Amino acid sequence: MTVGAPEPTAVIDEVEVLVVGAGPAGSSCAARLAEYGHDVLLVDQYPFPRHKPCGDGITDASVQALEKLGLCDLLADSIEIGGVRTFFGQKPKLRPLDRPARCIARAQLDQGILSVALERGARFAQLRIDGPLIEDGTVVGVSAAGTVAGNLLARCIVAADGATSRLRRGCGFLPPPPDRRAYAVRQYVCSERPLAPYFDLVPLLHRGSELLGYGWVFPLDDHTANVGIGYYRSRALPNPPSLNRVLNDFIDELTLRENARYGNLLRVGKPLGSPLAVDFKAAACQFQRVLFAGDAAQTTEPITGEGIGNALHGGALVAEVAHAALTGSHGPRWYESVALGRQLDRAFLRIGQDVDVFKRALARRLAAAGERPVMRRTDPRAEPFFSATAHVIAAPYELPALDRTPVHLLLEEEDPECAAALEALNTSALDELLTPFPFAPEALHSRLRMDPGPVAASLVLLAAREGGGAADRTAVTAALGVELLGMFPDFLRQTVDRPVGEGSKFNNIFAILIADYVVGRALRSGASAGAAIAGAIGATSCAMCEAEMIERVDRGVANRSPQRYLRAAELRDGALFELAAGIGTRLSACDPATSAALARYCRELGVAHRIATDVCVLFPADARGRETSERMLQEGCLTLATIEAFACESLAPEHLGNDPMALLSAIQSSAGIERALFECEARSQLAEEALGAAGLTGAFAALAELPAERIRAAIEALEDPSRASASSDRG
Amino acid sequence: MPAVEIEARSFEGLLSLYLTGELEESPDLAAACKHILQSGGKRLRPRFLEAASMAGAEPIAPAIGRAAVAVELFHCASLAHDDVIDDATFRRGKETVSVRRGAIAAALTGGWLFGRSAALVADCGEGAAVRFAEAATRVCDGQMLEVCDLFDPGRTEKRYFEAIGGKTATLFELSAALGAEAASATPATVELAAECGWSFGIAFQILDDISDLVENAAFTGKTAGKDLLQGVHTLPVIYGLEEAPELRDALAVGVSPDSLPIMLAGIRRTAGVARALHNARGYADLARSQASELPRGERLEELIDEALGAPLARLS
Repeated sequence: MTVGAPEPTAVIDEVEVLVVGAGPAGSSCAARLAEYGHDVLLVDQYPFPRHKPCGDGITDASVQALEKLGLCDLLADSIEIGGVRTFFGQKPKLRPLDRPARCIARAQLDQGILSVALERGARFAQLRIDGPLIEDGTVVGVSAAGTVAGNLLARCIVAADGATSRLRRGCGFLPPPPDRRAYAVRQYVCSERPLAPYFDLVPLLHRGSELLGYGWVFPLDDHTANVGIGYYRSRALPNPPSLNRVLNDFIDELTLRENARYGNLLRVGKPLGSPLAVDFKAAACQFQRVLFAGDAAQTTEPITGEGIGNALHGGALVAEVAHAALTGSHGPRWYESVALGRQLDRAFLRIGQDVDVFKRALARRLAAAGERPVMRRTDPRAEPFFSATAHVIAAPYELPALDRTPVHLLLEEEDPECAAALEALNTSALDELLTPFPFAPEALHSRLRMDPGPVAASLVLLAAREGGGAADRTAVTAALGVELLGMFPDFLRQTVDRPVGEGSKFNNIFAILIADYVVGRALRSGASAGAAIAGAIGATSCAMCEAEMIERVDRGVANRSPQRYLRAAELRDGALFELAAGIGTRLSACDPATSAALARYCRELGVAHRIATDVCVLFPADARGRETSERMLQEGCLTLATIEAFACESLAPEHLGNDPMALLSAIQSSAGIERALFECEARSQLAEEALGAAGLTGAFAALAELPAERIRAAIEALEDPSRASASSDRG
Repeated sequence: MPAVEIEARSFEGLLSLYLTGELEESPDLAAACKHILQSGGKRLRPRFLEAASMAGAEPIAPAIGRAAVAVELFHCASLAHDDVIDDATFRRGKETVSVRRGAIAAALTGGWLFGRSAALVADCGEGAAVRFAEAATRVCDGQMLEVCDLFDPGRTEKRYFEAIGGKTATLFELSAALGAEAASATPATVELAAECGWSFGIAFQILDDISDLVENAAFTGKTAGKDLLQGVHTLPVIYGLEEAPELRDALAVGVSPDSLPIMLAGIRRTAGVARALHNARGYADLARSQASELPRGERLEELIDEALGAPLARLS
């Protein structure tokens, strides 16, 4: 690069890829692009290492990204964080982290990632970039100002210049309106007492009332911590005039209230603040050849305010997108083939959501509460939807992979072609479920992996080949409709009968709207495969609602008859599976005898599946599973094994509702389980007979074995936890 | 009697015809469905469908009656779900299903009615099935958008129109299109009928929203200001806030039954209601002129006048 004192308009360099900003997003993007062999110039306005307001505490998602970059030494030298301690209730609550987080000083972190980019061949220059260089309406480069002034030309520009991105403004994207802004400010402190290796999250008070945000203490070593506050502006709450004042008060208050924990806190250096980049818009991630990454693309998590994980992963994603487009056959207007906003939206479920309604509700609750603590654990009975979804709301990126469902694993062995079609279906399902409605994508994605949806979808694909055709696009679309329909009653059921308080009212709004969303999408997928298929989907959703109504009416009936249970199972999973077979055989113009046999097979298989799913709920594999079974018993939901246990053991009706855990273990060791297993096997047997009559084998036969296998695996896992398998924690 | 003459009584006949034999094994669900279907609705959507079918070459096709039942069932399904969403106690002076039988029963009743309407419409042809499914997704998206904007003092006119376009106008648009299409109207006529349904739906919803703000319980069977209490900021409120921004902070905290009269008075002092009314009149005129361009559009014009004329006159 030419250094000297060129004219402000002189061209000082011309590169293939220019990355502006050497934070986590810019450097990880530059590292990946350089690895691919692109000519990359990375620029930053400051010399390195340099300090930054946010960060230090990094989540396990960031840890994984850093491991991928090969920064294992940096990770090894940092503090391992084993849990999150929250101070919102009467006493602190510790939530252990499944995979540890880390604390790394931001200056070292950024330096580390930058060094990886340089090792891989990117060049670095300290330059202050003022904005895009536009000629005849086309961006051709950027203009630099400051000690080195001039123009830089580039084929691709990655704008990773932070939350207050000058390139973003220069490309005509507006900053968020004042009442949608969020801020954070931090201060390094020395603590008198040794710090525990946890992320501490503390309510944030301003003049006695709680702000919409939280304060934190992140330990960098035994006695040094990053203490900070982050908050959202809200019209419903008094907004503090000065962030530094709030931080100061917060540290004083912390010293007083938590003196036994931290001792005195001595401030080191100056506080440093920044706006949070929580205003993601898919349409504002790209302007011609300028691709935005990290905070410049506003990808910070809009509830927690965590931005580094998305910046690291997002930077790498932008690199993949840019690499594919630059090396493709698109020519000078390569960027027209790029849809970066959509890709980021898909990669990070939360950022594209309209979560403001959630923040406003919280702010109103805070305003009404005065000084009473507001944050609390969700009560499963008052908010079944939020309770069942809480784990994915808290960690939207920990959704299990779609290809780990039992049926997918089975098909990989028995029928790889069908497994591949199922994967194609999963990809389109993820797109179909991308709605800005808050928490809906997480709720839908996590439900999608649970029975009976994946099995029903596989049945469509398998049946669609029986007439001789391949699992084509139409079959995949129709299968998606069936898979979505499988979730429909689950959400309807998550309403509360008599909502009390705003929490359960919101619960009902979310449960109903997400149910309507999913049935509408199911119908649309079906309709695109044909009106008859849409009609069958409509009729099946009627049957499923009838089944759920039986379940609702029978709730708490201790002497419920097994026939009522089996009838509901036929109407729900039986009807869904029969629908699947019907769609598949119709699409492949299967002969009537085979179609009829498959319909019978599917009906029986559906019932067997329902029995297995319900028995597995009685053998929970983890804490979340235990919550589910407890809730079921408390609500008085009697499934086949429980009904049989009541019928043949000395369990009295009053056990229902009282001490659910004791009841659960009584059921587990009762003869009810064997009877349920027997019924399940009998149904599978009937299913296999239907197959035999039509001369069908292969994956169909293997699927018929699956329900009983799941029950046996769940029982074994309880007896020997080390043998817990993926199949036991679903349902 | 030609099938096209679906006046209120014969529509009821069709309605029970298409539900006969259903739900014989599910008395609870059957009772809940009956509760909703017979809660005194005006059957506006099937009548709209029916009137739009006049524009086609075959206004006596049997598919018209089936589609008319389907749109009414879809509408009733939305009502059942709306009552859960709004946590409503009364609808048209009667206890709602969600109060009488619980929210889960109401949710399932809505689910069943929707499924049944989808099954019925599938018999009306490929185009009808696709149209119906598209409409179902748009109705839900509109409602979701409204929920996203709850308690937002910065809700924009654009977002309001997007929401009501989805949740209300879509169903009238669908009704008109299904009616015209079932009667074998030309594609251009079907599209014009659909546009007329959409304009009508927008005017209808704006008037409903104004009525909630300015009329008392005696007239509408609803409590005035219900939307404000639930945090739904409708068009007159959005316009009112432009004039009286000082009301925004109070709205952000939420309106309580105690503060409602002050808030209502504050909004009524502005020209918000008059501006919203002006808008409603504009869409009503548009709907009427679109209807007049349709072949044999007189019935539709009459229906539009009947449904919108009275509230327009009352609220002006």
